[in-house]
Amino acid sequence: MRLRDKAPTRGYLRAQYRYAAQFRAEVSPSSDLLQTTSDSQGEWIRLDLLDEETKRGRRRLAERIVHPRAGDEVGLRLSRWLRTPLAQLGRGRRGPTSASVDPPALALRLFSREDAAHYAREWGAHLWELVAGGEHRQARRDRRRMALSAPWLALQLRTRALLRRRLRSPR
Amino acid sequence: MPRKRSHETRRVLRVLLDAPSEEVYGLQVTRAAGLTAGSAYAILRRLRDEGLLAGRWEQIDAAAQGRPPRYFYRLTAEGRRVAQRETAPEQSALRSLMPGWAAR
Repeated sequence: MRLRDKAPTRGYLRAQYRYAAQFRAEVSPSSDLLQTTSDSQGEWIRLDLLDEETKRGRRRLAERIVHPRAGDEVGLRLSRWLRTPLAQLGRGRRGPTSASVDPPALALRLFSREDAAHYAREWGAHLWELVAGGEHRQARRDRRRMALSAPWLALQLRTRALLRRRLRSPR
Repeated sequence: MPRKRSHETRRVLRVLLDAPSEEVYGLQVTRAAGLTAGSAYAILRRLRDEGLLAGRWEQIDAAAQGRPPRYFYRLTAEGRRVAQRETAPEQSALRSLMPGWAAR
């Protein structure tokens, strides 16, 4: 039985809350949950928001191809799989009963190439200092949060604020 | 009405306010505020975009120093005002708990 088919018991909601908390915590700029692919001319970017790695592989929560322009905000709608537990979680909380919680969309802001180059340089110095100080594990962890492999694709996620707001005041 | 800032943003402002005339770089802020790098840099960038922080690249000869230049941040006058306002409640709470306590 898949997790999402279970009746929304208290344990299930707790599990989903943990998942949501983890999701909020881990989807940070350039998180490895957010995979970006672009063509060589940089005319398009494919954004894939992935589930945590499981034994069955990674599940795609959202996908969108965008044509980047600096300052653009790109919305991603999360899959039903994530929306449903969030809606149930909203109903499980005090306050007005929520018939539905809107899909918590992600807003991604595309940096200009110049800004992205600036942040890549700043992050490069950050990583350099960690490695020089022998903090290799921390450097690896931070490296995963960066988009140095494709610096101009740096993205900002407002997921945490959005999800927190949704969970706090479900409509 | 001033916008409500996150707990993490207030922590960054607290760190910057601890040495308002000094310049600090990202890794220092990350460590002092106890935040992950992903959060700290995003907050620094946002504060800089709002004009609360000013930034400059360190002028060094990277080859001679053997390290890349750092990007330094410092509070602007407006940033200092905002930081003081944002951290005032916790200052006051600390003062009520520890009467002799005073922020630097």
